[in-house]
Amino acid sequence: MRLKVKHFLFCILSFFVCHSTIAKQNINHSGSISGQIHLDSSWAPTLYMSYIEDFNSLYSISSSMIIQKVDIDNEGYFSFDLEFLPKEDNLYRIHFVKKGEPDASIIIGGSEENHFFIFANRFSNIRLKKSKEEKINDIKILDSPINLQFSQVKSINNYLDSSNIASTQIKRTFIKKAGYEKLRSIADTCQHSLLSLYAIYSSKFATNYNSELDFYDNYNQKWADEESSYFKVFRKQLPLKKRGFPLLYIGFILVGLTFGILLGKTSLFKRKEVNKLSVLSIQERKIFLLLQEGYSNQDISDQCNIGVSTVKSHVSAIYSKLKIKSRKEAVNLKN
Amino acid sequence: MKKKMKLFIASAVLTMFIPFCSWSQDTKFDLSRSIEFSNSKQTEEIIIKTESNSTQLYISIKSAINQGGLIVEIYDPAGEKQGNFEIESIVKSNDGKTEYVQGSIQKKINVPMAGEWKIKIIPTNTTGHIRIGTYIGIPDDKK
Repeated sequence: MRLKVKHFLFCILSFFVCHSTIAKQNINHSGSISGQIHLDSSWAPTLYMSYIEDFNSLYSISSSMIIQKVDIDNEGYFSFDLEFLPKEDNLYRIHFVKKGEPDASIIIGGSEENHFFIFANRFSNIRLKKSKEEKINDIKILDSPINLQFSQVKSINNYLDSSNIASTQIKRTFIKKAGYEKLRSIADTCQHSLLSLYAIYSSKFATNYNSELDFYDNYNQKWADEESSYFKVFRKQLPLKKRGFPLLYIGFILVGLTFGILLGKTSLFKRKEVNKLSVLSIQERKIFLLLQEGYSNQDISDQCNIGVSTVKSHVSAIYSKLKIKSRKEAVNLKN
Repeated sequence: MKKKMKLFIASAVLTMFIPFCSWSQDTKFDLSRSIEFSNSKQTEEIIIKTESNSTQLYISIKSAINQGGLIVEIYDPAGEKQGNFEIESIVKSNDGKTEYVQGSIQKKINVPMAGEWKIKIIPTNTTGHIRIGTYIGIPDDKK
């Protein structure tokens, strides 16, 4: 009997030790993007990581977008620390520049394309490999299933965008149409929201939205809970529907509004306010905290090394996302 | 001996001309433009006309700015965006130091859609420059 008790106590103790170790690992564990990249001597041995806030900004660049800069050692090794990234996946761009050129330089297309994109979060552990001979589009992404899928979607996109797609205009139109259908089908079945949305953007949704209304209705319903900046920008870009507006919908909206007003008065709604800051981007969160501390636009500009006009645009985005109208409201808002 | 000499000269002449003949099948027409910005805000559009017999369209755009922002977009004759980039320079401090930002794009389209290709340049209080080079390939016999 005593032996059984001892055995039982040992099991309990082991469970707690294991549990606390795992919990500790979960707290402290942060990921990295590391690997080996060989560049020829015309390039500076530095990599830059930029945060891409939405899929319209894939080819935007300014120093305020660069969130991290690391050196490549003599053997081509580098490592980005991801501990300050959000827990959710976001899109990042990694680029390098020619020697003597500014940090914020982007080259699109041609043999000297200088960037690639990657999905990552705070806990991602992604390894990259590129030899001197390989083009930047051929970079190998290891240990990241989502980025492997991303590469596949990008290769379809690159193919449709390439110059040698077809020898005649009609054939090119057919191939592109089939390619866009394939991308929509990937978007439809993909379980990763951002990759799915990237496929939608690659399918040039603005040009086929009106002929595929049912598809986009279903798509929007599927990702209705997605609150990331990527989806918010996408929803704003959708053209106005050309279909009629049934009375039934109006009824639903009225019922929804009434329910929403009632719900607004309950504690459930108030609890959600606490997480309001999650809608802000990394830069916006930083600026919001400075706003709360009473900093002026000029102070924030100096603090963040960005222009006053950029600060104003961030402040305006913060107001809009948090549905507030003044700095006073920002100060009073609990985070 | 004379015959051999003639044959040699004839084959030398042929060898010299064959590459020229095949090269001249596809002549390229160049356009290059350079625009300087000084606190500019005015949108500009550059039109490139391609014919139904154009074999290739090559567009190369290089830009560098040290103030404001610049958006560059390329549209095909159907109005579909075929490429774009956006750069923004941020003044770091009040001590007069400015930051350079560069953006460039290269686009090569085989058998391009006939019509007017448009390069839209949208500056926002921009100081800097943009260089645009385009080449249209046309078969020599259709010139």
